[in-house]
Amino acid sequence: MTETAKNQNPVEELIVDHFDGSLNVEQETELAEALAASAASKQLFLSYMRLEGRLHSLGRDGFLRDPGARPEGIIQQPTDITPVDQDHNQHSPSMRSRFLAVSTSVAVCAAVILMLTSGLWPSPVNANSVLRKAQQAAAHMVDRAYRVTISGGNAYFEAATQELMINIRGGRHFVIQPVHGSYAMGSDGIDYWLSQDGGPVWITKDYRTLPSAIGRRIPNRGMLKLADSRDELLMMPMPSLLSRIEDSYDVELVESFDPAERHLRATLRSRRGSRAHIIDFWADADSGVVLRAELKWENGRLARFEQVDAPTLSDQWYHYSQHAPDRPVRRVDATDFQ
Amino acid sequence: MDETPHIQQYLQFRGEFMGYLYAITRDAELSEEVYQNAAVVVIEQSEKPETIRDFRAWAKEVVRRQALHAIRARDVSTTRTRAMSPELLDVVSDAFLKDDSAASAVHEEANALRQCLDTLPAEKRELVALRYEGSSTFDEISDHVGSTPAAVQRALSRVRKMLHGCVQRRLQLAEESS
Repeated sequence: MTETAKNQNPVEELIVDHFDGSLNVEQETELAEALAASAASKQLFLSYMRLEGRLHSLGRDGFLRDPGARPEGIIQQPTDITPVDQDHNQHSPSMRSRFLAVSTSVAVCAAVILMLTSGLWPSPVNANSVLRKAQQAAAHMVDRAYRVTISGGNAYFEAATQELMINIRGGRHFVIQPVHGSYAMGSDGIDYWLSQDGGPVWITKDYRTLPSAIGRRIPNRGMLKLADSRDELLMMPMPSLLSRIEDSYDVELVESFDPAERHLRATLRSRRGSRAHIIDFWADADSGVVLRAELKWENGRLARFEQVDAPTLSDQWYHYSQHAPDRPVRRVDATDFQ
Repeated sequence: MDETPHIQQYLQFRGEFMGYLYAITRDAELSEEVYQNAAVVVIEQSEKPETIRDFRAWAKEVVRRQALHAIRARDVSTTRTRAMSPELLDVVSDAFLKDDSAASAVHEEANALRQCLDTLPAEKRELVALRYEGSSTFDEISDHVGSTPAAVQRALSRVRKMLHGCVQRRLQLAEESS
């Protein structure tokens, strides 16, 4: 054994124990001093660090078990092992998770707006009758396009403001894209789908049964987490969503300074959970169509909606083929794994 | 300058970035969250006209900043995890940022690890899978395998050293043969 190797042995022990989280304060100081004093120790730490990172990444993506145990259809190349598969990289679970996390909170808001955008504004206006009419609006096929701005709330949103376009109608039809577009996700009333530029289209029909059926083995963990959340309103049928609003929010009319508009405010009864705690709507007094809306969360996140268009779109427009043409399609359904 | 799309480059360094994140958070969930946040920053940067001369160095800085922000937020909101000493945090971050290992070497290391994993005896591989698939604690793993937490920790330490040694040997052999 070389002199250098001898000296590194105790450092190696400290490094391994560090990744186990079992060092005390004194040992952490000892490790810090060792790393600061020796380039070789630093290199040893870095190589263990990469090893640890890869094991976590491989584990999260389900690549640590016997390859024969992996479900067919979701076997992919680990991300930082060459050669790199373009499709897979464009759709790593991390990215999907993030862009879904960004998008779904917006879609929830859009879904709420949808319920109030059918031109069925009640007369005389009161909060309860708005909700009654909203149920009709939910089933009524009306296409709306909203520009959405989201800011604040966490490390990411503080750093950047998100701008997205949402096209939405009743019957679980919607498409969400960032203004400068690098992905699209939506539902055509039958399947939920998502796609990023250059990658395949991921589709699922029954997201609710996916988590228990697939567990950790599927790479798309972010999507599963969102789908499994009982607060993930995006995935709810409209009647359920309306019921949730009725159950969870107090809705009131607010005096509007513009006689051409109606202003509604929904306030979350319980501060628990991650839903917006205040939702403000400004709607056209004649048509009842919501012109803009603001949603505020307890953590400071703010989402603004502004209607930009009311296009007439075909049913097919909400299908993934219209937004990600000529892409390979990867279906992820619970039945595939049973 | 590498013309590969930024997000693709970012994903190729996933192991390295996740390693750093885990090293300073020792929380797999938080590491994944920070990694995702940084990925969105990378995507947004791709849509801007500015040119990034050294993507890896730039992405490291993005990851570090996101991590420090997340650690501060966690330390404020919970006392469940003891914060890492500032001295160690600084020296690890400094080493991460200044690490100039060639990207190709990092990828070779990843390939070597895969080969080394394939040579692990089944029970050791199972142990690794239990630990890293769901970030299970030693207590949880010990329940599963019918051992004690301390024994599980020791066994996993041995396996990691074994894997590390295996990777280094493979890299050395590859270097000698080239």
